[in-house]
Amino acid sequence: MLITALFCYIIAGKVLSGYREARKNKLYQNLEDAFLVMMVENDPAPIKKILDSIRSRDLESFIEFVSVYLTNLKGDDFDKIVDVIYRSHLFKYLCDSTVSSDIDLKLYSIYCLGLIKKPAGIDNLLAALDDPNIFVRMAAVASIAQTGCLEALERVLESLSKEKLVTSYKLSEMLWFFGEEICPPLLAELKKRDEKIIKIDEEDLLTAAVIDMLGHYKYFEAAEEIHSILKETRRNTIIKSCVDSLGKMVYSDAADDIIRNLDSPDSEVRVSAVKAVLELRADDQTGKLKQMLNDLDWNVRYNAALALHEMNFDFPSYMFSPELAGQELSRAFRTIVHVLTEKSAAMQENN
Amino acid sequence: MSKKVFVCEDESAIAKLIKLRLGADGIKDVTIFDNGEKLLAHFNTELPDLLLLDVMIPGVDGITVLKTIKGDERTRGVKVVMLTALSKEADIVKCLDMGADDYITKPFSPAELASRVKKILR
Repeated sequence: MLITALFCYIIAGKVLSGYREARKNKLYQNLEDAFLVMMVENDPAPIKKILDSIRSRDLESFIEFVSVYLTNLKGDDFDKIVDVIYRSHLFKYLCDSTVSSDIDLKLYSIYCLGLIKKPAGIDNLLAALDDPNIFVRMAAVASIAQTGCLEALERVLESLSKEKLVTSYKLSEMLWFFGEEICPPLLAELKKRDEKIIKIDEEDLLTAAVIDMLGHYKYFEAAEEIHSILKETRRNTIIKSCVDSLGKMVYSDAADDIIRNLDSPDSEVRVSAVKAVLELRADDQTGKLKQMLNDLDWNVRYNAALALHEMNFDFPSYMFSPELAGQELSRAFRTIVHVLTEKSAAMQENN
Repeated sequence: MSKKVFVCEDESAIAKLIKLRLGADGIKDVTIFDNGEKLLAHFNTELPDLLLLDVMIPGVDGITVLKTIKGDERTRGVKVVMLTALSKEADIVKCLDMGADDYITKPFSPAELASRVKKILR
């Protein structure tokens, strides 16, 4: 009896899953045909008809399908797709689903609202910033950023400042979604230093991410402010971001403060300082970089060697100089060999 | 004589859109491939006038495919337009260095893509 029940249960599960798969494939095919007619033949009637027939149980499949278009296209076709969704009942479904009890549907909807980039969805996305689930909150931040709505930036930064489990990489990625236009408001935040969002006296990842972002976009207008933070802060996380960003901006006024950090006790700061020295083309630091080939940290040695290589330092002569004679097993010698091998392999591959 | 175009793109909805858009612009002979291996295998029997090649394809990636095509005397003459993500600047430089004729960054406008393809085929 039990075995028969189990058998029936498995068969029913298989039939149901097959039915769902077939239903999804049919929906995909219908959507594809109708969207293509709209985009290529300029006839929106078939897609409007299909969108009108989609009910909430098919919303996830619909989002999965349409996100391929929304992430790959721009221009007229993108606008047409967004417009036809916005005018259908599906846009309201998406907004309503940001508070669904089904976590997958909630995440999908938030993701899709970000791709659609309509300001009308912002209030729902802002509300999702208060969700108890961190994945939902992060999805909401990413989607708000994708809409490019800078009016929501302050609220987003406030929300991110409370997150304790988010890595600095993730924070930068979230801000990056806003695009280059984020720089002036980020500089304004930096200038405020209100200790609510920008905290230069703590190892604060959000502050570091804000500075990283300004450096990423080489927003030179922020260089003076970042330089003043570099002089003020004692926190290595912030120092590292300042040095990185000032290097990317090639801000030579900060050269002395950047060079000072070649002697930082923090190896990550030393790596950033080496990279910045290279950006600044501070050739007078060749001697210091040579010393750093013996640094205890492998990454510092490696970046020092890369910097010297970029500065056309004569490695072969140095390797056979009295300074390195008989030291083939030294850290400096091995690092140089590693970098020269890597560079010559890359050259061979490119040829 | 009509021009032959190969499109190597793993997102079938996007590949079909490109095919139809090119067709609407008079380029009717378009063949779609969803991975690099199939494309390279087909190169043994038939060569296109132009290849639209996505960098991110399953299996052999677009850059390796480009290198293979441009490294073989028989296939070197095929014009190649790369489809690549906007954020991958290094990929763009690499592709152009390796002999790609042009590149289009994703997200892209299908109308602009068709016009660039037509221009290269002219």
